[in-house]
Amino acid sequence: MSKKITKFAIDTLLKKGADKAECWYIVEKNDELNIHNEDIDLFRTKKNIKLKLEAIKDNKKGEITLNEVNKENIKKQAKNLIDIALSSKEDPAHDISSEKERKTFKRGPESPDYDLMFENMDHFIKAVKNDFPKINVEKAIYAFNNIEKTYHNSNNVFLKSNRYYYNFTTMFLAEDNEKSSSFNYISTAINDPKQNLLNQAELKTLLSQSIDHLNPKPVPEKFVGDIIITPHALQSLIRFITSYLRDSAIITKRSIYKDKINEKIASDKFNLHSAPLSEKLAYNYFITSDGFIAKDLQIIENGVLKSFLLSLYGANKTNHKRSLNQGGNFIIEPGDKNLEQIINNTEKGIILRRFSGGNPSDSGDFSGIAKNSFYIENGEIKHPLKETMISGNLASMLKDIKAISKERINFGSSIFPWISTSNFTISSK
Amino acid sequence: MKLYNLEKFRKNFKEYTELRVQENNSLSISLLQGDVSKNQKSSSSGVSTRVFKNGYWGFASDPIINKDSINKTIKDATKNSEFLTEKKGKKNIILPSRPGEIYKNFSTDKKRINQKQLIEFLKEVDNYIVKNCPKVSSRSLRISNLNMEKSIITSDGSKAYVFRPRSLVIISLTTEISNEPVSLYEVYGGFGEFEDNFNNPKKVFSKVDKLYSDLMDKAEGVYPEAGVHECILDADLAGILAHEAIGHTTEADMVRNGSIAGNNLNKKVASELITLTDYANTYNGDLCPVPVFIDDEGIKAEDAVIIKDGILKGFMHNKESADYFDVAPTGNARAYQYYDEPLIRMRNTAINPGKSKLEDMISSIDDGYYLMKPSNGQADSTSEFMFGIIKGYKIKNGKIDKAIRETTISGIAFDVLKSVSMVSDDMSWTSAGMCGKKQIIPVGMGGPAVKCKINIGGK
Repeated sequence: MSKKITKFAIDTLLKKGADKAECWYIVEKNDELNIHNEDIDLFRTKKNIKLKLEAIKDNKKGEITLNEVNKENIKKQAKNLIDIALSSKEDPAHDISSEKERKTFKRGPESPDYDLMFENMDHFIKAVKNDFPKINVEKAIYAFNNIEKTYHNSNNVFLKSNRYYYNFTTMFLAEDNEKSSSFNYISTAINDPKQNLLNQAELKTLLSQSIDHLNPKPVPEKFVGDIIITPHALQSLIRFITSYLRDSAIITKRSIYKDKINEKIASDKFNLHSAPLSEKLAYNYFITSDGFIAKDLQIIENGVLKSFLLSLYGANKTNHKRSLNQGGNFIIEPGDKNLEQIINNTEKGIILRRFSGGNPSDSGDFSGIAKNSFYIENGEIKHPLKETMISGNLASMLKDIKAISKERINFGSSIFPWISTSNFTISSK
Repeated sequence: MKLYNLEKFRKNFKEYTELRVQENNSLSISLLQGDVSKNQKSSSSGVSTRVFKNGYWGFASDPIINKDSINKTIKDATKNSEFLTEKKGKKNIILPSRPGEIYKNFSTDKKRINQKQLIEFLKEVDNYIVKNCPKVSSRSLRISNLNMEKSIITSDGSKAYVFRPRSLVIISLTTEISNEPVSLYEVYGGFGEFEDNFNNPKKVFSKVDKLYSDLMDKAEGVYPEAGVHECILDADLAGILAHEAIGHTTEADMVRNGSIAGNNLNKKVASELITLTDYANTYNGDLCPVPVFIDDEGIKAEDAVIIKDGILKGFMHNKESADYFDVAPTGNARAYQYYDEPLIRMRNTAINPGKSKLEDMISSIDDGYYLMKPSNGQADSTSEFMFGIIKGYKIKNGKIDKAIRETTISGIAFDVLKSVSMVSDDMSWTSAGMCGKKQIIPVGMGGPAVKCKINIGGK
């Protein structure tokens, strides 16, 4: 079915005058149970279809996405698309995939078990009420996702993937009389619906810490110290760092890493992979957004930058190599210290559980609030923090890494350890 | 999309039911260093039904819009709600009702501009930048249009059609000083189609001149001194403060889940100079950036007064929260895509203007900052907030001094609002951003300039 649609779309685009054409046909279905107000009160079924058509004519490119997928509309939109492409500026960097293999991929359980999903959610909310009575679960969503993606282009490249996985997201806070804590959350992808949701991504610890955060205190004084970045906080910080390696930052030469390939940009303890094929991850991808089979990639090896995250367009534009994948599914290798040892070795600093801040500047400077975080002094966790700001520089943060933990958290889409680094300015109001 | 006659499906409603047919059309064109790096159109349409039976919601959607698919979503949504009833038993909740009928089409009457002309528009502005902004090392320009079109009927008698457009031009300029990049961007436009908001690229040139001049100031700027300072938050910052830090804590679902606002109803939470309202559709006789006349639950929308003269007076509601808190619904339930369920969302959240003149506010500060443009913002259930600042100036001895580089401000919103000592007599709206809460959605924010004490991150 999907092949008939994509073949018709490609043939139509070529007939309408495209020199090169490619398309994505994506069928998404997800079923989700939602908790609001501490009750499973919504069962939602979502269906969506997307047909993304791209055409290159005279080195000019255009793109249309539609979800009314029938021959008549494809013909109509193909004509529009050629007009859109012709309205673009000529850019010889535009091209389409020349992937040699025609391949289909499949991973995950193919159909949802609604009863099991319900039982798991019911157990989750009852256990939270029972074991963490001061916690309010603001929302929880347990979803089964079924995503079929087909890529086809005029170089006769055909790739298809079917991904099935569960994911669980919950947001919560603690409340006691007139006090409320900050909210916290986890989001994790799961292959096996039998897994206890409370055991995901250190959730029990986070619930307990939210209760601690009913009585937060500021840091005693402004100081320059260490931060121990938790795996949860790393999710946003790694996204910031890898944004410097992507097309836009490299093409515009605004990246702090624009000329740093094969140069040391981090402590030699630091190894960062993008591993979409990893069997350890419940949510992954097999086909890159530019139509190639994804391969695992080591981005930083012993502190040395080994690869950007460039698409085919970005590679053509900058004369660098196209990356083996599009990033995401990040895995950081574990270190040689236990988390406890890392805390013990911290003279003065904080454990950063969640970072609420603006995007870093082009130079890598960033600042924001340390949420759900704790103050450390003389190797001991002293108290939860309130109104505490941190500021530092992303490039320095990687160079100043002091230790990486042996322990890691698997979020289903990434695996991160705890990382201790230094030279952050930490202040409370 | 066309105006769908959904009335004929009403006879199939067995329970409380909302039926919605929706199409979102978006367009995005980017010029990066003069090259067209993105030139795309996107359309997403479909039907959804939400059913409330025995106290539980069932929701189903389909991208195909025809008689069979519509009937199937009604059937599937009912089945989904029954799945929960079977597992959990019945709850006795009767949803409140304030039905209405409305037809609002805000599409342009002007001659349509095609994609090629839109690119020409951006190229003309880009050429102007190349010729007139010699110290710009990198530039990106973007057009981002979104039209949302909905037909809704509900079993309690509402019937609505709305076509609500938004069009934006975003310009980002970068210069280098001592090999370090310094950037500044600005978003222009808002409610309305492109033809209504941008009829001539030459009208954007003066805005480019201002942006370039501000960028040059920023390149020579200083990092602000960390700590608590007397500051003036300009309209855009007052708007984001109203939205992120106060607005979210006063959405009734957040209140019910323990946000700090819940314990403060009818208490003083701000200076008496502060009145804060989530406007449904009209302010002072003019349409707001995101006018909502009937929400996606079919409720006739009304303004939600959140803070009046410093006292917390109310929250924003959907039908279910209005029932829980035993108040009238406000019409804040909105969904982004056809396959999304309505959530309590802000519409046009603003601090009302006061009586002071901006120049008097500036001259009243010996040592502080005039903070003008936020980049992004985040807030918490405690009303603690953080906003990135991309544009601002130091104030010294009552006068505007050097520009500042990027920084961050933070605080507890209710504490900051208590420190407000002056509010300017003018008002401006923006509708540039998307608010995220399970789904994204366009929102409007507005405000005057406010003088307050706030914590600055510095370097």
